Amino acid sequence: MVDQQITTFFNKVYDDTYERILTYVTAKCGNTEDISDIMQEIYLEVYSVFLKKGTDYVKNTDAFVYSVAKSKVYKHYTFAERLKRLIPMFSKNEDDEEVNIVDFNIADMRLEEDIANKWLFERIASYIAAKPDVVRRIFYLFYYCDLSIAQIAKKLSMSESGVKNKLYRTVRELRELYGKGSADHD
Amino acid sequence: MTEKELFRKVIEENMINKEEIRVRVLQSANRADVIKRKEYYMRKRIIVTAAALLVVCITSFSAYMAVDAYEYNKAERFLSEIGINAGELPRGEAIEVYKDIKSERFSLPVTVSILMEKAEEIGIKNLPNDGKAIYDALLAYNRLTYTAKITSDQIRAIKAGMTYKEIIDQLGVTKDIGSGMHILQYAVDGDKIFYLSFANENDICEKSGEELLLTLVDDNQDNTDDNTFNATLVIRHNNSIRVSCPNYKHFDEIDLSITENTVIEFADGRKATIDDIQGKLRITITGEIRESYPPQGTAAKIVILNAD
Repeated sequence: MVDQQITTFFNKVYDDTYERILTYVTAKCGNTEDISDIMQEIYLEVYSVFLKKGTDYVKNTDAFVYSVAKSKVYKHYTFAERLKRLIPMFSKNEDDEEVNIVDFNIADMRLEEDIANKWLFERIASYIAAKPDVVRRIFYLFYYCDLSIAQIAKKLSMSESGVKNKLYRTVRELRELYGKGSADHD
Repeated sequence: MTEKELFRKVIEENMINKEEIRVRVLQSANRADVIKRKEYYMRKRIIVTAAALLVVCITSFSAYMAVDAYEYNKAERFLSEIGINAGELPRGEAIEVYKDIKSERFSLPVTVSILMEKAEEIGIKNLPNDGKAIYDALLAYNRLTYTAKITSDQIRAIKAGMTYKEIIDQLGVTKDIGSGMHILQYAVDGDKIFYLSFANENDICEKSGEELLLTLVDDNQDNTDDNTFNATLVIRHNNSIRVSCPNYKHFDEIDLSITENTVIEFADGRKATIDDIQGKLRITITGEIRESYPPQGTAAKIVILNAD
């Protein structure tokens, strides 16, 4: 049986580091579909070290989890990174569109209505899943990891306008998807 | 609910679920399970690596094929400049011979053999067994007799400021019809002629490809009858003419005898005489061609297309 103390310690480390590690993996992974797998690999490694060596073995848990994440992402994408050099993933030209990604309330939708909204959630999820990887990455970093446009641009080595345009197009299309049209809402 | 909350919820529930990942990790509560999962991910990595290797192999093979096609095209064009049809040689041999000649090594026996065969075919005799000498002779012969067929895209690719030598390298060797100065003649797209005039190969051509395209001369062929073609008068004698027809499929120039049976007329049907023959002509030959350069034949009918 696993020591309850180790599980509690792991849960704390997991909660404390999850957001930062997820941001790192999202920015660095070769394919956003692998994020869940890589996150699981990272925390499996962390957990197995705690199990083998005990909770006192690691002095700085933040630094430790981060180093495991770096190693896992590197191992996962050694080949993918090489292939990326052969096959350009991003277009260099970005249109200069007017951008509006201001958040707004969706008055007729409540988080509690999960069942009613399940169908819509799945539609939005499939729509995002079908977008190019770079768009998904930007979308996750902005809406899930709470990064600003400038932070995302820096992490993905892209221009801010490039990030904004890709995000705007996706949001505009999503607004049409769930019936809000392309107009801005407050 | 805000839009941001909606999208976060969608990602959380359908794509990256924090609690699901936590549960999966915690379910690996014993070391054996951890090891099994590690093995699973190792296997997965091996599969991904193998797939990536396959992609690399396919990419490399495709790159090899592209390079091979590129080299063969260059060989085909180069050899055609000395009258050798690359299609009659094995693909690999055509590329090897091209490289051997281009590098001026002439070290392959097959190169000398092919050059010698071509020289004998066109009647060049008493040549030494020296690849370079035979090549130079073929090149000189072709410059007198062969009108290269090119496309308007090749001309469009010419940049202002190139030397004429660079342009010739780009378009290929062709017949020089000039006297005193060079006038290279190219058949373009099967229906136009391009004349490139210059005094010295090292002179600079100030015109761009687009500007040179404006100088093309119309040379549309009449394909209704295999023995009929459009041509331009080069020289007229008492009872014969020499005409130029770079886009005609059988030859680019011919000496034609005019007999009492030859019909000569203007485009509107009026009768004409040999003295009226000038400029653009539509010619029908009897069909018999005597092999020489230029070839010789007999005119059955001559229509003067642009009489004054």
